[in-house]
Amino acid sequence: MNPVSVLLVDDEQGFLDAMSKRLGKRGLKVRMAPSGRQALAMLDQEPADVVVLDQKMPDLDGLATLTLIKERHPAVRVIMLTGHATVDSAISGIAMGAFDYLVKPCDLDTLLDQIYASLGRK
Amino acid sequence: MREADQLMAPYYRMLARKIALAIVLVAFVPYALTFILFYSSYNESIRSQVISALTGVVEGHKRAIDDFLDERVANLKNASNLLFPGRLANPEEIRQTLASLREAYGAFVDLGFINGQGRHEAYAGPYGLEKADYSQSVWFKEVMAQGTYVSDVFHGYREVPHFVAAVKLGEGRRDYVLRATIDSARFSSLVEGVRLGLTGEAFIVNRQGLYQTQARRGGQLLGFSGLDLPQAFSGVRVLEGVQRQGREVVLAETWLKGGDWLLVCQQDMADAFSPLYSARKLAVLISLIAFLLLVFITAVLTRHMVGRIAVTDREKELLNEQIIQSGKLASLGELAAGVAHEINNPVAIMVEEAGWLLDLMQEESQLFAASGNRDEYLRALGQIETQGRRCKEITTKLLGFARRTDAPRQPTQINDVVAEVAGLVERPARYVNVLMTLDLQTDLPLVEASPSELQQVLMNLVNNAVDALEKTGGEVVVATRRLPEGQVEISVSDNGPGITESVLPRVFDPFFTTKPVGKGTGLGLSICYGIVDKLGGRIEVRSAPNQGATFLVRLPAASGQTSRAASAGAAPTSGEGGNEPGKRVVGR
Repeated sequence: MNPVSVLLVDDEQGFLDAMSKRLGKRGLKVRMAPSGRQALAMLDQEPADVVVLDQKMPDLDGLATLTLIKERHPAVRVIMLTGHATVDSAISGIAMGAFDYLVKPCDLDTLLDQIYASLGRK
Repeated sequence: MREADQLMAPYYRMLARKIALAIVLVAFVPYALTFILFYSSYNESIRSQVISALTGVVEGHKRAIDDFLDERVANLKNASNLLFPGRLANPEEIRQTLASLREAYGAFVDLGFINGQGRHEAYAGPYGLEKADYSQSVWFKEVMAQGTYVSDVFHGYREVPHFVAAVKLGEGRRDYVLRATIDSARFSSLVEGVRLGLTGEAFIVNRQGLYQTQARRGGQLLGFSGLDLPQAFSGVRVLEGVQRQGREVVLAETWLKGGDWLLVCQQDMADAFSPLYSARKLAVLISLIAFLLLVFITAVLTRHMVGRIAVTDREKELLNEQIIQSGKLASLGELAAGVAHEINNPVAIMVEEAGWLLDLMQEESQLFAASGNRDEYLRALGQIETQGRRCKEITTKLLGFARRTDAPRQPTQINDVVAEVAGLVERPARYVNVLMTLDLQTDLPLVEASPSELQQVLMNLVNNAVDALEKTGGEVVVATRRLPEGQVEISVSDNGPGITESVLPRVFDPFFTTKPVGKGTGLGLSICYGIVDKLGGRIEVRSAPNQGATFLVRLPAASGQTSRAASAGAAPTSGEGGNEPGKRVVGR
């Protein structure tokens, strides 16, 4: 089975570094994008199975990026991730096609579970 | 009005004074003007009545008296024309003439025929004046010069007042005088009979100011009147406010007898103007009563009005404070949300880095197995993860509490809300020796409510309970239970001093507070009431002095919700416990 390819999108470089290493260590193929636009560009070059998308970013925020991803790559699973917890944005994110919504800092195992769950794997 | 009294600051006192003054002026000035107008016209009409009465008397009597005197002189002239010259020297003729004059006019007392040397040629009468010599008398000289003469009044025969009238008869160098003494009782009685009101009277004085008639009050005939005699004038003169015999009088006077006598009609001012004075007294009394009544009513009204204004102002102030307070809370909420987000990111990085270290340690487990500090490394990294998660819990609570918008209702597990509030209050309560105890019923039905609003209700109730125990310490019990009627009941009880009977009915009133000024807004319980009411529930209080207080909140259970669904959808507090700490809402 091909390794699951994940695109981490966050404007916090420190978070991207640590998270990508940890996920990579668990056998996932991880790429990183510091912004929504870059994430879209990278997806255009090479699609990913799952996008882990930060909610609050400068320029293109999480929901806007989510909309564009769902437009261009409907098959890509998106898990929203944020430091900002509101019921409203969670509901709208899921309504717009996100698979799930997690609050930072999240347990790595929880994130892995959600990634696999989104792909229908155990 | 007690509160209003407290608010009777200088500003309100000034306001009250201005309002009262305005009301009194507006009400009283037109009244006073009307009063003055009516009074002055009434005064004028009374005055003219009095004056015309006096003037009428004086004019009428002047004519009568002058006519009387003129007639007597004319009588003498007629007699002399009939008898002169031959028969007048005859005493018998004189006696007969006197008798006929008496018969015709009554007033004649004696009659004498006097020659140019002032001696009687003939005399008839009771005085025995046959030998009298008048050549040096003032009256004789005057009658010789003027042709006629009428004397002042004098006491004559038997103390009856008389006067003398004389006419000169003459032809060429032989002049004679016909002289008569006349009883003045006729015109005296005319004058003395005048009566106006209680004190109005008339009298005559001569040029020396001596009474020529009897004055009713203190005026003996020929006594000195004390009148200030005026210069000659024609017609009638009226004087008001003249001091006479210690009284203030109004008098009308006119000259008689060609300026020899003054006819005076006088009346006391108090008597003449008595209708005016009594009307004035009554009017002043009525005005005084009306004024006092007006002042009293104005004072009461103003006080009431300003009290209301003060209360309204105070309420407005409180409302303003409340608005400012909620503004502050709103900005605090935004700040809290921002801070929570900013903190969660670095904390997430910390936690991930610690996890990464753990990953690496696992990879190099042989290397670390040799190290004596392996367990410490693991413990320290585990601690970083644990504390990071705690940070997240704190920020989640902060966010949950800061969100004050009218969050949509959702099936809510009240036990979770209670636990969250208790978690926030527990520690500060312990500082004042208040123990928080929770008695939560398991498998409690959900209620359809906004969690943040329920938080607010519970927070207010619990804080009030803790405040009640602040001085003494004690226990606050928060209990939940399911009621048979498909309701959920939350009770918040304390064992503090309780609420007195007088205060009890008012605890839910807006702005009612027993806390010191500046401490409570008096809104907490009314907000609770509003929220619970909106949710279709009821809030009530049970308390007695020294037996603590219990607030009961009853909310309708959400229909079709089971307790299992509750744990799956325990949305607002999902950060509490559980083995999926990062999970927030799973809405699928």
